Amino acid sequence: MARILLVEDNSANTKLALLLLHRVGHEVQCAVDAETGIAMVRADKPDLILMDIQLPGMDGLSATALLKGDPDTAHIPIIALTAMAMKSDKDKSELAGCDGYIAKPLRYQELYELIDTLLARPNGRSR
Amino acid sequence: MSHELRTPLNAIIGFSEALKDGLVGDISENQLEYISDIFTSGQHLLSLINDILDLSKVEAGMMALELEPVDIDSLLSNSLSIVKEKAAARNISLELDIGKDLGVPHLDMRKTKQIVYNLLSNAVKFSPGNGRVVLGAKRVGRASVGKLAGLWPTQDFDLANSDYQDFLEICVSDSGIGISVANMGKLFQAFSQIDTRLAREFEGTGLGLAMVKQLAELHGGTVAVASAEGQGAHFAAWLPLRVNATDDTRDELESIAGAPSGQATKRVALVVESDKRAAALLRMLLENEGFSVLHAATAEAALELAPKQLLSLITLDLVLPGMDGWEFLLRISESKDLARVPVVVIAGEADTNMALAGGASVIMQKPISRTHLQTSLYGLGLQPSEQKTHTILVVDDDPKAVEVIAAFLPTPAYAVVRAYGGAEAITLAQRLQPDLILLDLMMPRVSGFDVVEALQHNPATSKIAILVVTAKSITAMDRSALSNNPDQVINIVEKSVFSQVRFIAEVRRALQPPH
Repeated sequence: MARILLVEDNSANTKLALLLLHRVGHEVQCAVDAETGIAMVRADKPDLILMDIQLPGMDGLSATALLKGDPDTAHIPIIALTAMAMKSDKDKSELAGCDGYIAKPLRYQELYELIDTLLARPNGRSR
Repeated sequence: MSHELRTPLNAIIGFSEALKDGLVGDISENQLEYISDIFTSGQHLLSLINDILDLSKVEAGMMALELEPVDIDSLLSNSLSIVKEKAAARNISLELDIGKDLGVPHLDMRKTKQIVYNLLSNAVKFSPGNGRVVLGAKRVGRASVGKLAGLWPTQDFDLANSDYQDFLEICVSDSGIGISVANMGKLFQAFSQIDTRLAREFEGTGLGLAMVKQLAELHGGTVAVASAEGQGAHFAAWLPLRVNATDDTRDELESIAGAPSGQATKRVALVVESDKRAAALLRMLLENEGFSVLHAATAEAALELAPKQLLSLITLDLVLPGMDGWEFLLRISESKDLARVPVVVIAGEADTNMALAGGASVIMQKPISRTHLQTSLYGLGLQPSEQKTHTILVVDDDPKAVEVIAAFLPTPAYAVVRAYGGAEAITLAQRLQPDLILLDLMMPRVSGFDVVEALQHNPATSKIAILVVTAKSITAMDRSALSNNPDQVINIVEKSVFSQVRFIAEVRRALQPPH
């Protein structure tokens, strides 16, 4: 079980993610935009971040680049969530520094596996 | 557009899957059946939407060809393995027949896979049990394009004019139900599964072949079909064999480099940085300041890119593979055009003096922060232009009031951060350094007055502009309580006179930097 921050602006998607994450015992906090998400990451240092890419205001990739550029938060694994299943989106999310990538719709097996893999990684700076 | 279409489906597919798999608790058999129907229909709709979006992208000329050397053998065998399970379920045999003289053609890998996969899955779908599907690939001359072996009636299409003489023919043959001559013409049109009865029996989007044709044409090739009813069908796609793609790559590079110059008002920054994360961060920060950003991962690439652009700024990481940053500095100082471009050097403290002597305008250390970059840009006379996004912190204990204000502030000009209490507002202001705080005064526990006081006591926040948005009539005493710091610009809007026009005007005024 881990402390996870979900950054997602769509309320139905938030509910779905909460359902899936609570079911396996994760503790979840939510932010509805990147700016709030960044503030919460800096304040609470969650174990993992699920970051929607398309957000109002600052987008999820910019937020990821910011968090990965800050030595205080660079070690926190970030999973990009995107509704666009294009190869270029995956590339872009890697470039921004995301540790994992899930194309929506959110499927629970894939979600659980990726979270477990990233949390099992030796918890140090990723570079 | 694509995002809007797919977002509702995330909830439909995600929740129905969670329900049907019992993640939410037990359900009856009837419920399971219906929920499973919602799930499969949702998935079907998603694949439809994906296909339509792809197709409309090609039609709108928005899909670009991304050519790369492709190992055609493994591409074809991988495609076969995707349909293996479906074929095995009905005992259909799959065969592969690849010519030896194909070399390593330059193709768009993803789109070629889509072509092969669509043809193969159709062939498997329409084959009877115990049937046979053959995937073939060979080199043919231009004169053979559109021609299929055998005596079956053929439907082909015009091949676009080009200099290509050699083509890769990808052909899929099946022993399935076949297509009548009358129906062959309709095959490659979108949504024309030729028979509604068939459509029910063979689920599909009816877009696969239309997509195949579009993708082949995008490559500069074409498609054809030959079939006899009840006997089977041959489907083929021809793609030009570009063995050397350098010409296309160069065109592409030029179009990328040339793109920003079309927008005369946008300033161009060149980021020379080998670390891709650092480059992504710089790109974001600079775009936020209204720059178009070009990126070069090496000094060599930067020297090639730089002369093609009217650059306003270069950022340079001294640590580079190959030619290092010092040499790059030297080279550009020798160039008449480039010597005038300010260079922000990203270096360790030890190198600061050397870099300044070498021609750097400003030195910055990693990690790069937004504030530091902004200060450097101001120092260089590169003030943010109009395209800059302003970060605005909206503070009100009434969430509805926050949403009303947020709705008034359009993206991308404004990025809105929300705070629902005074304490939260103080923390967020310190962390985010917003360009402007829109502040309600009457809040429980920590009031707007308290927020102003706290911000003024902290040097990091004492210069952030504040626009007080209040339902309270402001008294002279309130005014003096709010304005005992000459550095902090505080304006006031009363909610009673609230309109978007007036409001935006006040926000703009508050954002004007103090002179």
